[in-house]
Amino acid sequence: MDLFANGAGKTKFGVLDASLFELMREATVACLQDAETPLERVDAVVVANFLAGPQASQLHLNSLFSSVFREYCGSSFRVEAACASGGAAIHAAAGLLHSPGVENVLVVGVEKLSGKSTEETTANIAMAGDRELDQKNGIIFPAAYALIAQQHSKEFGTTLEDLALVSLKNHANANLNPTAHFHDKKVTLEEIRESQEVCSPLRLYDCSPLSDGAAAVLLSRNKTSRSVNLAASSLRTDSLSLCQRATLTSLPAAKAAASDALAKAKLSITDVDAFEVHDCFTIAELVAYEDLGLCKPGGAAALIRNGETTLSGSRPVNPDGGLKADGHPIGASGVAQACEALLQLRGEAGKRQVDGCKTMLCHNVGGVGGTAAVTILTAIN
Amino acid sequence: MASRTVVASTRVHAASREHPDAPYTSGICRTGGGKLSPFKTKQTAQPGDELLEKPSFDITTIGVVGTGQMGVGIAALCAAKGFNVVLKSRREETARSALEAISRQLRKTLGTQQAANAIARVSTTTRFQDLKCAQFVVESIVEDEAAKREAFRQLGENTPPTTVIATNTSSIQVGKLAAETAHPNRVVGMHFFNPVHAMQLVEIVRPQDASGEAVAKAGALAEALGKTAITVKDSPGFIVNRLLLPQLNDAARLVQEGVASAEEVDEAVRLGLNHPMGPLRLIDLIGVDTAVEVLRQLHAQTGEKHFAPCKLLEKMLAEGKLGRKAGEGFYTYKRK
Repeated sequence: MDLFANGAGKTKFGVLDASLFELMREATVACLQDAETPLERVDAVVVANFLAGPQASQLHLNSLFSSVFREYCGSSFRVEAACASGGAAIHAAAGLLHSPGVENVLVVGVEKLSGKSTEETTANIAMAGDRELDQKNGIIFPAAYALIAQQHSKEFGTTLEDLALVSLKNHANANLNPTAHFHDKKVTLEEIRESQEVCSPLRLYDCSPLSDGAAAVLLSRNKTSRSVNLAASSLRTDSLSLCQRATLTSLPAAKAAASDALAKAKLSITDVDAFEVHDCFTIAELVAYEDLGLCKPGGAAALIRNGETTLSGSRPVNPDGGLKADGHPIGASGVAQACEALLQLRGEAGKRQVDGCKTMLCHNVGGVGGTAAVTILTAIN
Repeated sequence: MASRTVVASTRVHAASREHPDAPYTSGICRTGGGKLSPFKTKQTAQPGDELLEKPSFDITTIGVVGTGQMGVGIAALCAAKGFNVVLKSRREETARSALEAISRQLRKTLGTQQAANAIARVSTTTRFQDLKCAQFVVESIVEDEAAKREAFRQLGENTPPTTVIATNTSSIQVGKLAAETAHPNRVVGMHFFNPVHAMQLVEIVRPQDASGEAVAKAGALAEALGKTAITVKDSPGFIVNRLLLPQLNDAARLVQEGVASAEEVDEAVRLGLNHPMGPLRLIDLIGVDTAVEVLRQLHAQTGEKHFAPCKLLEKMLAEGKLGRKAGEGFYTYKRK
């Protein structure tokens, strides 16, 4: 069965006054308008969210959708897979489209991270790690990626300057994206280099921000004038903790999901024109280059040094600014990647449009690779 | 214990709810058996380093002397963190009730199986000689210099010279207690705060004669118990009580002078100074007798008048209004 993505909607990402309720409404309304599909034609809703419980004291988010849209009382689910909640929700929604009578499924990712102290929020995000192995040993989220950064540097010679280049590139892309968290912020290499250390070797500018925001896509069995192809989606899992893995320089689940999705779409990595990758930390973007097969293990630093992944490079990565600078409202991030793919494939991405973008791959990772979702979307010829 | 070689490490500067003690180092090490396992340490550690503190950390059994609130809290914490505990009390009856209190506390903070395991690690005794199997002893009896001196004389005679003896005193000069033993170099202060399981700080007190090894062991034990240790000179009231007790005394004096009621003083301090608990409720929690004794000690040691317990505290002590444990202090409490 051919599947399509027919519409995308996204709120501004950033530290926002809006509540979960308002964010969910804004993204959904924008998405349905973009898809030219009224809500009564939506057969199922999948809400992607990570931390509304501890951060916003709100659970039961599938029902929240019906509180927002009083006319909707159809089937609705909430998917939680830490930072891969959005990608996992898309994969689940694609599965739902194979059920009898389900023609349109709305995926809406939403997150409200602001409003609690950083100490509290850091501990809540650490819930994505293993309770016994990671959380109790202080391996908070940036610490886990810092371990990968250290190992990547030891094994392949990746430098702090390489990490800084990822940050610089994604901030520059976000300057072209009006809904990005850091749209208005100009960032220089000096600022990145001099930013305070969070977890050695990662500095503040190696980390994605704590953002609020929502994003929605409408997946469908029906092709419309707004459609792009949902060519493939794949989801793979792994242990919560790095301690149970054989490698500290790669995320095996991401590798497996990427090769599975490419095989399903009958594409090779060289067929992909642009990428949305999960750069929760700068090192994660470099590891993604290698896991996706953009280069061999250890080759990521050369790609960023040579500018291959900038907007005008041979394989643009994170044209919207990525999690680093578009922002990381966790449950919404994976959905926002798909939103960006729709815009790029329809040639509607404005100043950040990748020329001739016909195939896009989205790579969304939960925790430190415990979940990985890869989605491939292609333009309709 | 098996060796632990650092594989990956990061210095964490970001404090979080469960780890407010940043900066610290976290990472992954390889144990002797080749298994990867996570670690956290206050020290710095680079790949290839051996994690030293745990292998050289030979403490498996901890003696706790005294079955008051602090003794019970310390014993419960040690058991929860995997140490064997020998709890020494004066009478079998108090030993039994202390063991019950420890069990209650462990059941509240741990899962059923973990609590059962921890409770099984605690034994009680009334004889000092049964503490000879402990590599570390924490004395936590009543805050009375004569009684503590006697306890230290007994501990000195009944434990091997390699055993570190720590006192949980909040106000008595640790050096004086050390002088009661034949090996004063193994005596340190280890001042926990009430409630022991919740309060993050331990003051490690370093008397003049204490060996570096004894002080380091006390610090390592504090870390193993999940606490943050601050090392301080053997001085009146150390840091916290030297600052706190004058304030408690002044708060009681405000009530004595009729400036405001106990409730009002507490409310003012909570809201105006952002303290989690008002000073008078805090006196009730630590006990009027303890507060007065610490004030007297501070007064005697510093000669400064403002440490002398105010009349109201002396009166409450005489009337037995000792606070929460007596059912009445500045507030009244329902008996359990």
